[in-house]
Amino acid sequence: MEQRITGAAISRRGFLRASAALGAAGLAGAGLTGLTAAGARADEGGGETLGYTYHNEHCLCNCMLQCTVRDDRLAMIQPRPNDDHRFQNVCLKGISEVQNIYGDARIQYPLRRTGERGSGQFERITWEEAFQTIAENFKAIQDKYGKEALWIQFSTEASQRFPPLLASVLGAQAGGMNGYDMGQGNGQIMAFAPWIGMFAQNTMWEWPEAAVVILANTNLVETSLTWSRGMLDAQEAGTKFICLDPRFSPTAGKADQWVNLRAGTDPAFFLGMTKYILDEGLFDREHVLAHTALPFLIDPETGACLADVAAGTDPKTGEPTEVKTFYLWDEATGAAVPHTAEGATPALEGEFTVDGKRYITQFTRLRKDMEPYTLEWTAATCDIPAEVVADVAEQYAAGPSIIDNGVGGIDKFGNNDVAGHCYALIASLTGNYGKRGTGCGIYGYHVTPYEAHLGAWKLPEGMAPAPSPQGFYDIVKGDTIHGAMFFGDIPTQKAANWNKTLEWLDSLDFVCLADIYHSSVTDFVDMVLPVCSKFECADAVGGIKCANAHILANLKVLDPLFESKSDFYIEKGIAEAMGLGDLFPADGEEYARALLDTDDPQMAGFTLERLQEAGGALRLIGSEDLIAPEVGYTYGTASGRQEPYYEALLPFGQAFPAWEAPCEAYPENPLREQYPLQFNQARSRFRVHSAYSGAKWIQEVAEPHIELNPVDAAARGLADGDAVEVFNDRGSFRTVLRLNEAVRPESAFMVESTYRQYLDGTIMQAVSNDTLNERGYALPFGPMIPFNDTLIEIKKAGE
Amino acid sequence: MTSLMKNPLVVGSGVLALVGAGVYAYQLMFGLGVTGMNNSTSWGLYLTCFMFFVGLSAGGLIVASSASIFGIKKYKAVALPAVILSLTCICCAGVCVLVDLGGIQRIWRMVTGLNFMSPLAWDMIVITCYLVINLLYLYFMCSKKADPAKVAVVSRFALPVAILVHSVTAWIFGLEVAREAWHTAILAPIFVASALDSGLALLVLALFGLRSRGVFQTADELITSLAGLLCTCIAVDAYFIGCEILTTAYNGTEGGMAVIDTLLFGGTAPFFWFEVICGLAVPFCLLVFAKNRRNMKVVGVASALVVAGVFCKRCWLMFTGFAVPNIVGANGITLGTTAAQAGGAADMWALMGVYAPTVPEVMLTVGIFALGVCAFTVLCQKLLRK
Amino acid sequence: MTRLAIGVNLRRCIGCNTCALACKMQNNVPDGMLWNRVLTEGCEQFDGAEGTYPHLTRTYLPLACQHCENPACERVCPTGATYKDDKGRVEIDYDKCIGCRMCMAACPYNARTFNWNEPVRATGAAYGDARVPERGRGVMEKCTLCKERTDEGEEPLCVRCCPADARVFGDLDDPNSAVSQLRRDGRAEVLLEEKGTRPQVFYVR
Repeated sequence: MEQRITGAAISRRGFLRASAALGAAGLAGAGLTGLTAAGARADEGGGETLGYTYHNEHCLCNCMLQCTVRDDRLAMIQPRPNDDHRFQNVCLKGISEVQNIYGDARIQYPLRRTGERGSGQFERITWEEAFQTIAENFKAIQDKYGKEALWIQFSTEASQRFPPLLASVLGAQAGGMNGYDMGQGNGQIMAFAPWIGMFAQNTMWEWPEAAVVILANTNLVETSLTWSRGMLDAQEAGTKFICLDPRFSPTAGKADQWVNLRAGTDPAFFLGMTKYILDEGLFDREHVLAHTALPFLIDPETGACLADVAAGTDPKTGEPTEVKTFYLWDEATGAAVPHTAEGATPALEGEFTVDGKRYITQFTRLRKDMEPYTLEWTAATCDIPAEVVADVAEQYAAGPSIIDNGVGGIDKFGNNDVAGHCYALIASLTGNYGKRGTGCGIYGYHVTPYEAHLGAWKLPEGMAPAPSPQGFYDIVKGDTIHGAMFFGDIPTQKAANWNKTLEWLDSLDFVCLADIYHSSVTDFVDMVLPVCSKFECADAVGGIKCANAHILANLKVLDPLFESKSDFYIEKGIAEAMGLGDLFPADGEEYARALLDTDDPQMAGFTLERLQEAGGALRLIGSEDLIAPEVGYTYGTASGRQEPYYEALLPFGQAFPAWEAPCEAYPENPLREQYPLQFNQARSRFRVHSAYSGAKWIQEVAEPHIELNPVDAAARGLADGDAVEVFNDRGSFRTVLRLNEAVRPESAFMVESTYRQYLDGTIMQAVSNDTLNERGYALPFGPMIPFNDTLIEIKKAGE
Repeated sequence: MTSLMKNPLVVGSGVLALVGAGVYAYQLMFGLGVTGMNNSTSWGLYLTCFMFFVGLSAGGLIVASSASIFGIKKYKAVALPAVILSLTCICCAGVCVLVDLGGIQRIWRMVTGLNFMSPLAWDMIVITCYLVINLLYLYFMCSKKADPAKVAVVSRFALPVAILVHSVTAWIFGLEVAREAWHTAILAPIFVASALDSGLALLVLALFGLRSRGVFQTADELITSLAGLLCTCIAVDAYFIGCEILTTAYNGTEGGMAVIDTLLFGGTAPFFWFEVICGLAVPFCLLVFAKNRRNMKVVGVASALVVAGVFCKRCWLMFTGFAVPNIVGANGITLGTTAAQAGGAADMWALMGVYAPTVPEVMLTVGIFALGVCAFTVLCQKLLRK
Repeated sequence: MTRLAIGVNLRRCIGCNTCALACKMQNNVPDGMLWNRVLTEGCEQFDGAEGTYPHLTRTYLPLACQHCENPACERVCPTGATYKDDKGRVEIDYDKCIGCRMCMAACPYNARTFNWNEPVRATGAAYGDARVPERGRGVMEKCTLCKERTDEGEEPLCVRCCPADARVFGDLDDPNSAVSQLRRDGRAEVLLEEKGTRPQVFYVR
């Protein structure tokens, strides 16, 4: 290949900080590991020292690393010894840092743009100049347009040290809704309150107790790489894994069964299963009657529940709340009784008259709502054999079963919440929620039930970021923001349709990027600041966090390379230039001590010194058992039961989930004539969004490219290795084509995000769909960007 | 000496040989990375030429020595040029091996720690013996005290050693269980057959050359007779190749078919078909007729085709062995080349064996050939013109 | 006797390449080559699949020196640079290697890599275990079974770093070792058994 161009561009994320707050009360025994042996060896080595940090929380594996430094250079990275083997991890990305932190893509000094946006022309400036310029611009913008006209957002590897303070100090907006990863969560959150609808309430270590795990939209073995052993262990123990993915992903290849449904049709698949389960009587009748709201009476016309509403108080907070009493039809007495009534014999189905008005049960409505979703319809919609739907439905219903959803695939389609709603519905219906070996939600990124409450750096009363009612996806379509600072490549990762994002960037008075590497947006901002990697610290400690049932410390391995600074010192530098430096901790150690200062008994006695002695990680006290307590059948829903019927979504016709086609990538879309391929972006093991794009060791194994099924390539006269242009009405980008049988015909696959220098100067998100589903604004996590709900065409570059 | 310096062939080949030496210095400085060799195809033009030269050498000596042993009187006339040719070729072969070594500075390890299990060790021993025999042969033929009896004694050793030297060369390849295309008991006979036809053909071409320059006269009858022998050798060579191809292809095994696909239709097919058609079929058809054998032009053309055909055979033998790895899968084999060092995945891997000789590699090879031409010309001038 | 070996459970291998990079780092393997590489078996594309959509299979195959009991490479080495050591590992004495590449032609697994050039490292400096000897231009190298680590009773780094617990290291001559137990698994097999090299590295399919 003459011209080697590389992979591409969307990345999102600063995964939600929201924790599945399930902190179990601690008992005893911090798992301190024997690091002395390893330390001793290093001492003998002469000129070698060991340093400890944690890695890449962005993929949420948070590997704890033992780093060897020789001649002031990072020479080696190994998993930090851990008594609990599950937390003694590293992957290829961690190891690649031995080269990557010194790589060509590193931003080395503060830079000021001198040429046109996108020209890549910059001049080197001093930190002092940089801080001064930023301070002046921030001040000018905030004075002119108001404090909230400044946007300061963190993402990916450039942040994630100490909790950011700058947006609070300046009263700027810090980013609100995500716009990604939470689409299925939007759909499942309401059924099992107080569950937050995202990370499952139990953990993957419980999987061996399940008969079946359905992997829905999760490429677990790549995106939760070090947790794949949870899947593999369960598989060895006899749990069957069924993977739903249009592509024969690495995870599909490892699963026991692969369902190759058409992209964006996951809700149809689950609706078909639900209908089949209802028709065949495969649901768990006792469970439905005892633990779900499905026997509740509703108005057949309006769908409203028959309920009494009374004023009450929340037993925990003491706040006034509504207390709702729902009604069941008691077959024994032939009357409607409150759902809390003891000894009733509730009717599951039927039409009943209460006070002269006709009511049906939710279950009766469910049967009616599911009528269209026959096996034949499902087979046609999902483009798979009808038997597969029936087979998976039978296996799932037999249980105990788990649905592990990822945040790829359907989560990047307009109809993502319907999928999540389907999971909640089918789990409630079959008794696959509440007891051991059942559940739904995200398992891959969250492997312990423990979360400690860290202390905080105290800012003056009332000092907080400005309310940020809109997500970045909306901000880029509006004109409320006039200045921005990004830690990491937010603009190419948290918004689709790059050309629109670029217009927005152009409209800003001032935009600054702090990043470790020359990421895609670098060339489009006014000022670029070099951030140091996780291995570099100006102080003894650069960050503290709770993850993996540990308190992790980002201890010093190396001094900051080149002229880089940590995000903490960049924030502090800007604050100082604005005369607000006193509000910040003096240094990392002071900040670390503030974070470790907490009443949480799981962290009793945890100090910076102990963290240093222990090699940067201390196991939370009482966190030995990684299997969470059984979820059980008491919920924070209005009725206290599982409530898969969402009254709130009646105006959207989604009280029970109803099929809704993807917004762009549906088969009958006339746009398909021009752009026949669905564009499927997902994460691979080789990068975390764009991070590691410049890592030579990883480039040696995998470079960015787009994949087509050989059938689609042949139809276009394209061959393996061709330089191609990928395009639609929104824009285009260039990359290399590889042929792969694993890709579903009529779709194209690409590992999302890379730096534009590896895509011949183009940006992958130039083609992606930014149409938001209006329903999203009514849902708890807001609308989601339908990155994968995108149609494209591919041609040879230059033709 | 002055007359030699006026010989354009000597001067021209000498200059090319010096250029080759310069390229070798360059290769020593930067490593074998200046060649097209890589981890997927770890031997290239140098060892292909090594095989070729050993064959050419053995062929000449077999003719010369059989003249003495079997008393084929008429061949005795060409014994001296045959031995000179043999000596020149074996030296070139040796040079080919030496320039192919990555660590020539450690070559003394071959003396101090020789592993007698290694075919390369046998080869070193046999080639050394062979070289000594060639020199003795030459000495006894050329020295003033030239003694036919001693020549006869030496020739009795020379014939088996000549056959052995080429068999051992074949075993460097044929004993490698890893390479389906090489791993065959018939490889040594194939090598010997190729040695006979290519060596003989080169001898005929050399005799033509010497005759045209008036250095050494050979009677047309003798050439005709050699052409008859050449025709027989071609037939034997073709027969062995046929046996090998049939055995490889017959059962349609996976490994066998990979070899057949490469050889008949794949990367080495041009070499294979050139050899079969131009190196075997055409010369055989030309020489099988007595009338043609008496036509010196036809004999010349046939001989040239045979030499070129055997060179192609060395190429297909060598590269078919590397063409298809035993374990196939992406990304394949890491190449380890300069491009692989500098680039990413697209430059670092090969699914199948890949190889193309580089300019320095070709120049160095040309230099070795030129060295051979130069040495042969000089030796003939010195030894034959008496 | 000791016969150190690695067993790779392919049912657990997720093709992540961590072993490949761990090996590269530990052994200071220069750019452009790997001692240990991960193949997608039978495919032309990493993460490709065998068959026709949707009837597909995929097997990842990590491949390095197989540390054969009957090593073809050792036999053909003219200087004895390649040798079978007392722990059953196939090793290279770099000082003896003349760069003839007989061993490379002899290895059925393409497990060896040669320093065609002066070794180059994108880091600009050596990395990995300080105990690992340097190799220069013109020298053959390959997996040593992490000689420097296994000499000290540590696991090879590829085994230690494997996130999927797909690799098991130990002594095949100790019937109670984990590696021996895995070797007795009915699905354990060696690569290219027909070549008669008797690899100590084996795979469970």
